[in-house]
Amino acid sequence: MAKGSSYLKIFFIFLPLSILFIVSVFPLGYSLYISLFRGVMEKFIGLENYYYLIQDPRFIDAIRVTLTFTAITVGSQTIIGLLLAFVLIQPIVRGRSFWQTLFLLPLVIPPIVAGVMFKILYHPAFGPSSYLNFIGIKPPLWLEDPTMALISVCIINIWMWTPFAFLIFYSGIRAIPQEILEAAIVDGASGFRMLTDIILPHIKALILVVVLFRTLDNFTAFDEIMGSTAGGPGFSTTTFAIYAYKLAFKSWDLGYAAAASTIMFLISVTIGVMLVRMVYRR
Amino acid sequence: MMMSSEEKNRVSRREFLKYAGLIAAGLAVGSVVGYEYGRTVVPRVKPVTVTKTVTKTTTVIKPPTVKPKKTLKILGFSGALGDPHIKVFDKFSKMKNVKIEYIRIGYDELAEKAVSLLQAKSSEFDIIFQDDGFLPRLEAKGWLAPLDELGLTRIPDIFPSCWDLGTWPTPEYMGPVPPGERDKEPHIYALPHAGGPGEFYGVRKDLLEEEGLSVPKTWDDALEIAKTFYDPKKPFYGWVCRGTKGDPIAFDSATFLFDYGMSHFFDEDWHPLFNTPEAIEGFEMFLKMAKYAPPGLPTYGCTEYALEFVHGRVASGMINPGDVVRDLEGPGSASAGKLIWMVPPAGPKARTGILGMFSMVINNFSKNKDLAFELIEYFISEEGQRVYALEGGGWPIRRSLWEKPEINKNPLFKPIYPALPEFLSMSPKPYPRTTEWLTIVDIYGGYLNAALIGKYTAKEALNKAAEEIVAHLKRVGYYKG
Repeated sequence: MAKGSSYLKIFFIFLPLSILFIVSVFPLGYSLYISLFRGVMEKFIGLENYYYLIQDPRFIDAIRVTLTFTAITVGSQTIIGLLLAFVLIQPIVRGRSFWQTLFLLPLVIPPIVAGVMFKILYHPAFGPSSYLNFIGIKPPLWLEDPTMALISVCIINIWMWTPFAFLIFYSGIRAIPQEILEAAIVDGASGFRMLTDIILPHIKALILVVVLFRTLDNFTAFDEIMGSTAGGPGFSTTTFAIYAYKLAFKSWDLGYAAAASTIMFLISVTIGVMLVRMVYRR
Repeated sequence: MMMSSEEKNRVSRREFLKYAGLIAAGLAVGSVVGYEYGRTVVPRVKPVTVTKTVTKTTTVIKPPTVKPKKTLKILGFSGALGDPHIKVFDKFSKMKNVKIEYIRIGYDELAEKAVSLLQAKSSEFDIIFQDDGFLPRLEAKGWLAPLDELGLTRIPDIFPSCWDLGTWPTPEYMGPVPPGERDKEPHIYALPHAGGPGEFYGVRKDLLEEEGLSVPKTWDDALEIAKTFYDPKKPFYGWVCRGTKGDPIAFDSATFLFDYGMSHFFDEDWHPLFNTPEAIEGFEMFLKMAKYAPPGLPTYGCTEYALEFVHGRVASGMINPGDVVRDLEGPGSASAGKLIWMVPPAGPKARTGILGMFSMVINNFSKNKDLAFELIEYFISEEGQRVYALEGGGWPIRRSLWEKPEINKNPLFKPIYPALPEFLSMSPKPYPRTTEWLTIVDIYGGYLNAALIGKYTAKEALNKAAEEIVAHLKRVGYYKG
């Protein structure tokens, strides 16, 4: 074996492995390490952070909000994305390129901008809903009411990321052999039957991919929430990412934040592994 | 024996470890060399002959000489809070032949950056601006240079509240300090001088005159005024303040709690006092006032409440001179020239206020401490304060200047005179002097906001906040045993 060729092979194995180690394994290990300290590596306290964390109502509340937020957004994005894709492949639809471009627009807006933009749109005194005052209707308190606030930030996320689901589903549906769809039409299948009996079975794997990507991403949703509610009112939109950010960079309690992140990492890995297994089983 | 091509290409474990070790060593040596090279060839900021904005947030001030003696680097606030200082820095730069790099960033990033830099014992910046709530953490860690050791003495002409707020440990009337800190020898670490100095009460005098009402003496009077002018159909509101969770609602409601009998947020042993019956009554009064506020109050920050006054849609509210006087009294504001700025009305037990200001502090790891101190000394001198006020537009901290007509008749300061010197002379109380304030205010302000949206009663919110804050303080070792 030529020596030069060995060097090259080892280099190409070693390089990605070391990059993977530096950007992925090392930060995780380091985060685990600092979770054993109080504050910014001030005092070694073992597992004390974890002990307090599992009793911390803020942490438990943040997990609850994150799970609710993820369930609502991922569910909605998958369903709406699928419906949009299904509608757009109908022969009756004209100007497909226009609709495609329109549906994809939210994807290019930075999440923090979307958050601030919606904050203005939702404003009961300055936003569009303030015009309801003129016809004697009280505008809804989108971001002020705790239940509405969570739904409102979900709407921002759904608006931003449904195009992603749409894009995947639209490509998937277009990849279904045309003959199958035509045969179904000739056989008199209704739109609903086509969706449930032909399209869904063909794109099952894609649905799982969308759910997987969106779940993992929405678990860490931050910008749009920070830009619109900053976790309020009260703690009603304080997701895990907002909670951890405040612990780490407002309170400078890095140890506690690292402990919280470790627990959250384990939860998201568990969900991620389950979803990945489902994808591969397909 | 013939070898398959797969076997031929296989790399033995020994070979892998050997070459991997060589590559790792190469990378390590390369990194060290690269780092050293980067350190030596790092580009210097090009000198500029006059005050010039280099980027949106960086101002380089250089005297008109060929070679300035030294460079001072200052990390400050962007926007109106940091603008008035430029004129003073410019004068100092010319006087002392030094270049000043004034880098300005947003409020939130500033606190984060300051802790990151000081934590790493960085000498990158000589002077750093900070809000007073962040000071105890920096002071307790020993990250700030004691100004009195550099030669600063208390000048009687400067309001005592400013001196006290910048001293660590703070005097006892300002509440408890963290365990182990009280026994430390007090030093002046900061001189709070900008923003704030606290929450004032503002009311439209034209509207009071129309209705034949007088300026409120108590919070009950203020409530009546808010009720009188509240007409959501117009829409016109009786009252406004900041209601956003965290610091905004905590700061804007604090005066109510003090005026209804809360002495401090915590007792000497760090047990909460903000859920005592008096404090609860005070917060209930805040919630009563909020009924006459615009519907978006729970998300109102500084911009939103200022806009209500600017659009002329509100009769009264909590107003912070340092934050909004230029907007509320500026051209285009429907409330300009119509507002009475005053020390907040009295509650059943007291008439006090919440004190909160921004300071310049000297980085204890700075290599230019003496020069930085000279700048601060010049800044608080009569001349420096005159430049700061008349050329920069910042309110002065010297009592004597407030007596001068060029200040108290100046359109910028006339609206807040005599309320501002009055406020600073009456020893208002600051936020708790604790290293944990940012965590505490997040929990406390979160529950206040939850009460504002009706999720909890005042009592429930304050009790829940107390419970969580005690758990936090226990975790970080504030309680013995």
